[in-house]
Formats: sequence, structure tokens, C-alpha cells
Amino acid sequence: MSDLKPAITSRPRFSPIWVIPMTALLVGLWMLATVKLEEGPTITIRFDTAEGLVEGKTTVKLLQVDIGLVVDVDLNEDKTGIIATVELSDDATSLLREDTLFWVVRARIGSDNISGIGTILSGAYIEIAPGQNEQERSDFIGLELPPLTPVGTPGLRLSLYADLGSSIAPGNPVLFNGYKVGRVEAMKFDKERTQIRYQVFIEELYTDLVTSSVRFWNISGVSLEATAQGIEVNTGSLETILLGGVSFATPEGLPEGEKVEDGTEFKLYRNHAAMVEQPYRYRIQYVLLFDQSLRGLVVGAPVEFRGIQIGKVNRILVSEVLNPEIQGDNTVIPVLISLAPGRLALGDNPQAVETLKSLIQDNVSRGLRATLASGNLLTGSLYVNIDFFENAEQASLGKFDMFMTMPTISGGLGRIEQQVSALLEKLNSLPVEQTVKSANQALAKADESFASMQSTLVSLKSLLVSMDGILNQEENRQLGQKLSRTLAELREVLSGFSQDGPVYRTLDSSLNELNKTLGNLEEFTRTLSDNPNALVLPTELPEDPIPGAKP
Amino acid sequence: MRFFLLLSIALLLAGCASKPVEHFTYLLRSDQARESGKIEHDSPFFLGKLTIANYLDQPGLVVATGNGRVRAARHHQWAEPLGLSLRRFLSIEISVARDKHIAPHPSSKESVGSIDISIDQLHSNESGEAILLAFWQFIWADQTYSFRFSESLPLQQDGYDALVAAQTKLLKRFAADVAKSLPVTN
Repeated sequence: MSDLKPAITSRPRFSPIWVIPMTALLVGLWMLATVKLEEGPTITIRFDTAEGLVEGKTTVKLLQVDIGLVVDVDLNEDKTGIIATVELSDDATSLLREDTLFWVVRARIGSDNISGIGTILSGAYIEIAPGQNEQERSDFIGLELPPLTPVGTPGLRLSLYADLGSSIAPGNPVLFNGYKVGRVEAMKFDKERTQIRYQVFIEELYTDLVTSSVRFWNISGVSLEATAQGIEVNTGSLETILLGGVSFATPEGLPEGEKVEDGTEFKLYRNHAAMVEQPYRYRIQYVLLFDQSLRGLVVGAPVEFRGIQIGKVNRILVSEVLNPEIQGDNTVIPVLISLAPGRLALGDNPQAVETLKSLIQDNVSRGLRATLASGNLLTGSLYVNIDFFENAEQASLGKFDMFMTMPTISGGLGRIEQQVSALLEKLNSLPVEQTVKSANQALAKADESFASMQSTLVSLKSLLVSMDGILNQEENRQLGQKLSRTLAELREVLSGFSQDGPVYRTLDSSLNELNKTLGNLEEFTRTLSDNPNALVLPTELPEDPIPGAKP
Repeated sequence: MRFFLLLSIALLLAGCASKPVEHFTYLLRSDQARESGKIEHDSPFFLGKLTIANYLDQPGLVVATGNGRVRAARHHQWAEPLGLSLRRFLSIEISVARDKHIAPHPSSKESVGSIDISIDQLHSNESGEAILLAFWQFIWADQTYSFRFSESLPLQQDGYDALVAAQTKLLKRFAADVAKSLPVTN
């Protein structure tokens, strides 16, 4: 018997066959990791409507380069809009910031332009405007309309405010001297200030035009103004007539302002005329306390300094009149006025306000007072006149509620009353009695003068009588006759020299003879000139030409 | 010897002797002056300035010999200065034609009523005609009136007598025209 023993061999613990699935698994994991690593962020964007958005087809573009795809479109939680889920490429991560904007580009026909025509054939797409903010974000609210100015566009963004609504709307142009330099980007109603605020963008090229001195006004529509020269029609461009717009300029007389920064606020005047009427931004307010009737003084009445308007009446503080906490025991009527330093060429800035304040403070001690003056005697309208009054009582600036007060003196009829009173006082103080006495003395002297004159006249009369006697003497009477005779003789002598007189005739005859002799002499000299020997030898003078008759 | 000396002197004197030249003078006068009659003296007109062309302001009668040449006669001359003769002649002729006296000289310094006359041409031309070109003007009723006379008259025969006769006729016509141009006054 053979010694048979089973050969026991141990199997290897790891079968090589497992290499295949393991490799497949590793490859799979590698692929999965690669896909995951290359996959960009997934974001959600909310829109009002899904018009034009198609899952797996609508792309997200930046500068017409595809950077993502809409993978899902669903209704939002309250079914009032949609949520589009978008997968972006990995390199688009840096674009997703807090202020990144998304909007759907589709064919649009608006009042000012037509856009997105190309999407009629290619289909709508989502455009992205990268943000500048450092804060990242993954859920966004998409814009229903493309932003007028892309985020980050260089330029100047200003805020205009207006008390009244107008036809100005986002997209309307902003003009300078009629040329478009920007646009209105947005408008909203400020509930707290009850103002309408407009966001305005000025293109970078024209930001230098906007200074602290410029004023903005509404140029929408057509403005008709009847003046002494006729009816003046003011319009902007056709676009502004139809759609509205804003214009700005530096008013005449204002100094060139300083450069402004983003977010600077400007008032939007309702039209150009309103801007010209009240172009100044900075004002200083004072309260004038009048102890007289204000009949004829209305809000908006001018405040003038020697005929130059420097401000206007803002308000008559009627509610404060009977308020004992403010008014005390006084019965004066407070009038709130505002003065514009720009109207006094002090500039239109906070420094000018301070300058005007200090000027007023200094000059009040020199007699600067406010008074009511009559603007129109027929209508009885009043205005506030600020001027220097030499005889004004000493006064200084005071305080009324939250305002400074400027001292006043009575004006208008009150002033006239004062003047009449002063006149009467002066009349009373006149030394009438002494004057009458002096006048009596003067009259007495005048009487003496008259008596003297009378005696002089008597003397003159006697002189004339004497002269009359002299003239009546016989010798003097013949004097005239002699004079007349002499003149007759003189006339007779002179008549001899007249054209018909013998002297004249003799003279005329003599001159004729002389003339004749000179003629002969001329002929003699001519003969000698022609024939020098004619003086000695006989010379045959040429015969006269015989005038011939017609044959 | 003495005989030859006397003969030489006689011949020399005979050589100096020449034919005497005959001179003719002509008097310009109006034949109207010989007629008697009453002439009104209340006319406001009178002869004012009388100017004659320079070439006429000399004694000789003037004859044009062609090509713009004129010659003043040496032996046929006016008896007195032409300016004087014309003034008298025209005064009488105009007075008679108008039947009112026209004074030959200005009676005052006033220019109203003054007839100013200018004789521009008065001579015979080579065509056998006597020509007269004259102008006159006067002021009346604040208005100035100006006229021109230009006429010619053929000579009846050769010679200065015919020339003087023709010139006299022309001057008479001229005076008649002047008288006709004057406004009628009461």
C-alpha cells in the first residue's frame, strides 16, 4: 500500500479577478470626482414669468459667451412667479456677487428702442451683469427689464428730488445744452419726505459738466409763456416732448462750482423758468417780528435790499402768534423769510451762508433793519425791505422758536405815520413867533425902501420935465430941420455916383476909352510880334476874311 | 554928290509909303428906338447879368474860317464894346415886344425879376450863315426858369454888312423869344 496523502495547498487570500472591478470602481470614482470638481455652482433666479425659458435649452450668457444652462424651471412657493435653477460653469463662480444682475433677453419693442431681435430665432437667454460687491450669493431676483446702465459702468450717479410728480420716467434722457449726456435710471417716491426721487446717471465723458452750481429742471412736454414780447414756446427735443427728460445748466451769475461725487442730491425744478426764478440752493432763514398790520403781505413776496431781491417771504407764522410758549406776551406777528447769499454774489454754498450771517450780525448794529414797504399802491401789496436806517433804535439779533430774528421798524403806512408825526414835531419846535417878528421887521424895512423909490421917481419926473423944456427951445427945434437938409444934400451927392448919374457915366465912358486903347495897344503889339520891322518899313497887314453868303 | 544923296532919301521915303488901310465900324442899335410910343414902366423885370463869350469880348467881328478856327476882323469892328451895345439893344427890343419897359440895368439888389443873359456864340460860319447861341434865365414866384436860343440865318450877300444885318435880325428874334418867355404881369 502506498502511502497516499492528499496534497493540501492553501488558496491565495485575494483573487486577481477582483482587480477588474476594483479598477472600474476607482475609475468611476475618479470620473465622479472629476465631474464634481469641474462642475460650477448651481444658483436660483426668480422671475415674474418663465416666458422664453426652457429647461435644458435656455443658456446663461456673459458678453454673448455661454457660461451656464437653465436646468429647471419651477413655480415659486406662492405661485406668483417662477424659480429658474441654473448650472454655471466653474469659472463663473467669481461673477456671483451680492449685486450681480440677471435678466431675460427676449425681443422687446419699447418707446425708446427695440432690442433682442436676434432672440426671435435663437430663443431667449439669460444675461448676467457681474457684480462688484465682495459678498457672494447664490439666489437672485432677476430683472424684468435690462438695466439701463450696467453695473460698474464708469460715470456719475446723482439723486434728484422733486416735490411734484412729472412725466419723467426711467430711460428718459438727461441733456446739457440740448445734448444727451446721461439718462434717468430709476424713480421712486420717498414717503418720509413726500418727494419723488430720481436716480440719474451721467456718462463718464460728461461728469465734469456737473458741478455744485448746476441746476436740473424738467423739460418734458411743451411750455408756453406769454410775455410782453409775445408768446414764447419752449420745447426740448422731440424725444423729450413725447417722453420727458431732464436738462441741467449753470444759471447765470453763479460761480463755477466744485466737482460733485456720486450720490449728490439736486433739486429738480419743475421748469426752466422756476429754476431761473429761484436758482439758489442755500438759504438762510430769519424771523421778522412786525408790530403792525400785515395786510398785503403774501407768502412768496420778495425780500429786497435797496431794490435788489435777496430772498422771499416763506411763511407767516400764524400758528405761533397766539402760542404763549413761543410768543410770550408779545402781540407781534412773526414772518419767516429766507435770504439767498447767492443773490448777493456771495456764492451758493454753506460758506456763503455763514458769511451772510456774520454780515447781517455786524450790520444790525449799524442800523440794518427790515421793514414793510408798499409794492403797489393800487393793490396794496407789501414786500419786505431790508436797509440801513440811521435813526433806528439800537437793536440786535434775537431768537424766535428755532429761528434767528432780525430787528424791524415800522414801514408802509406805519412809517408814513411816523414821518408825519416827526414832521409835526419839527413844526412845533419851529420858532414861529420869532420868525413872525423878523418878518414884520423886514416888512417895515420894505416900506422904507418903497418910500425911497417913490422919491426917486419924483426926481426922475422932474428931470424929464427939464429935458422937455430944453427940447422945446427954438434952437434945438431947428436942429432936426438942419439935419434933414444935410441928409438931402448927401443923397444928392451920392446920386451922382449911381448908374444913371453923371459921375458914373463919365467913369464908364473913360473906362470904355481905356479899354479901346488897350485893345489897340494889344493889336499894335501883335503886329510888332508878327513883323518886327513894321515899325520902320511899311507892312501889309492880312486882309480880313470876307464872310461869304451861301452860293 | 548932293543930287545922289537927295535921290536916296527920296527913294527911301517912297519905300516907306504904303497904301492907307480902310477901317469899318458897325453900330449895333435897335431900329425900334426910332419909333415913338408910350412904354409902361411898371414891369418887375430888368436886365441882370449879361455875359458874352471871351472870344466875342473884343472889337472885331468874328468869322469862322473852318476846322474850328475863327478870326476877329481888324478892319471891321463894332463901334462900341459889344456888351454895352447888346444890353441897350436887348433892353429896347424886349421892352417893345413886351410893351413894358425892361430896364437895361438892375434897379435893386433883388434877384427876383432879373433876366440873366449869356451870349455863347455870335459869328458867321463857313457855310455862309450867321449863328447865335444864347441862354437866359429868370426867377419868378420862387421858381427859376431857364431857356436856350439857337438859330442861324443865311447871309444875303458876301461881306460884313450882310453879316451885321443877319446878326441884328438874329438878336431881334432872340429878344422876341425872351419877351415871350416872361410871365404876364398886371
